[in-house]
Amino acid sequence: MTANLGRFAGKVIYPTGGSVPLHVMPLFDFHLDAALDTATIVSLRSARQLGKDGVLDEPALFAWRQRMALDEIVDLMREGLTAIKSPMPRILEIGGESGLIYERLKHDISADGGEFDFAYTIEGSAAAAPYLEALHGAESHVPTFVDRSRAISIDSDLIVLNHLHGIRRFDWTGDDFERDFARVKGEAVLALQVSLGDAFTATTVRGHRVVLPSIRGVISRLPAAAGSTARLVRDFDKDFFLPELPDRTGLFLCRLGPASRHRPGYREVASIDV
Amino acid sequence: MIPFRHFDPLPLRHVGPLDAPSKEKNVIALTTLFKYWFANEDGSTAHEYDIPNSVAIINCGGYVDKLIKYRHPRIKAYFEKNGFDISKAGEADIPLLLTRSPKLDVLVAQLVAAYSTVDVLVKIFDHGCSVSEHYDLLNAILSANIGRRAQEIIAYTGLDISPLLLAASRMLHADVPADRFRLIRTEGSRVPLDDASQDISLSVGVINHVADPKNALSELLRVTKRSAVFAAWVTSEPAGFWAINHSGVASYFYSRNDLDEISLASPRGRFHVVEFIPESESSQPNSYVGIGAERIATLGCYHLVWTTDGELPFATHLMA
Repeated sequence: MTANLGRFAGKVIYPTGGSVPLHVMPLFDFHLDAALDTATIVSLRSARQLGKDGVLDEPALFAWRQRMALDEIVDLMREGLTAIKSPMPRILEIGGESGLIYERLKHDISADGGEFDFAYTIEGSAAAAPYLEALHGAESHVPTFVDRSRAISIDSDLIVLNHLHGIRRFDWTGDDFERDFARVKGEAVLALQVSLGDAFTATTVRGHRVVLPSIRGVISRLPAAAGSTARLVRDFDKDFFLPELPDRTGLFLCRLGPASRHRPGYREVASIDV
Repeated sequence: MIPFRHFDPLPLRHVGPLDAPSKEKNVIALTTLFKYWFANEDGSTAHEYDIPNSVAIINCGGYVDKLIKYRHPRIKAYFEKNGFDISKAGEADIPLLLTRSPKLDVLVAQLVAAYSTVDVLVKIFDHGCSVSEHYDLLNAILSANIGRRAQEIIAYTGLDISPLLLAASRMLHADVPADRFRLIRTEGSRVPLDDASQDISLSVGVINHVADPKNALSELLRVTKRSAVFAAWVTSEPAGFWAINHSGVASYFYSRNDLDEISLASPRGRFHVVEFIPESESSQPNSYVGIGAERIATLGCYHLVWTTDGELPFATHLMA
């Protein structure tokens, strides 16, 4: 069905209160997701450097942060970092291409008066490299980029499986998922778009074919880690997938490792109601 | 990826719904949504996905993308091979260089090369600078042609109204000394710079969008000491008029009378025409809300240089 669909991506202008478009203008990918990532990074960087939030905030950026679960993922990561004893923890993020998580992490650490005493590696598609260089290269603390098409092993103390962001940027097949999921161990943060039934492959509005793993399968195969907590947000951003999905979807946010505090909405992984 | 069929929800019509003389068809407010829109083969909507966005965010993404492309080594390599000639950009598979903005940047680069001296910086004013992507293409062209980086020979001043774009500009040029890279946040109808304080001024796709376009052009010429390079959208109708562009932003089309008035009020220099591109031949002829093909045929864009110099380092003809 999807192959026969016509697609338009861009601006649609209506007379206010009307429902018939008066004008349309196609936009490129760099005006859409990439633009929102870039603008969010600029906003966070400015807030950090000026020492105050909100200087460049606008409703669209706030909405984008929510859609990317940005603040929540970073909050989970920071809890993981506090549990790591190494003086220079090594963070590996799989799937986040623009450095959005990285910038938010630096913002939050800076706001609390902390230091950037961690190493950060981003694993994504090769096309992301020049963007990362342009957006982060002039900073004193920079992330390392690894092309995910090159099969190399990367040692890390905290792994972030950022399936939520990654499926917006590239095909993420079942084999990809299994390979990446198998790398989850120790301290880890998972942000996964999942099927509430069996695993299936969905088509995103950007045209990527991505596997949505079964929530039950994910939970049953998570490495045992005492105190790990998670929450499931049903139908999270479900319209990002073309319709006629065989099951409902949801966002599975999980921190593997002992929770140091109660987090509203989070439960022990084993007690997640699926 | 899935190769979706192209779908145009609203093809350009011969006469647009807002074209004269339908004065009763005024629109007093617009709502812009950003979405992925899927249609079945019969044209019915199959799926829609809204995404948050804004004009400033779109501009930020678009211009940052352009800046990153300008920084690619193949751009500098192209200019090392071809000098200031961009006519071979198609053969070199760099179609980006054949678009409006690089064409004007190449003119500016030639002026910088002509004006630069060993110990005096060339002052450039970028009116509507966005993320200062022009600076990066100038850097590539100048590095390739005269072996000097932009920050070695240019004192740059950018002006824009968007705090987001200016913050992005600052972030992306953090390595340029602050005394050679200055940014001003203000609306572009008035320029807070001294008379004849800038050797070269540049305005690409901005001067038509400010609150007072005629004054903005006069201001651009006022602050220019030697040459102003700019794009001016014009109408062949007797009077200039306002339209609404695809961003919901008001956009003014200068009439010939407007340009004549501004020229007479700025007698230090004269307008030279580098190129005229009919709007119907532009890459985005469907840029104006409610305007049909019939009226678009009366519109176009001049690439102009206003200069106080007797000669320019590239071919032009005096505006009659």
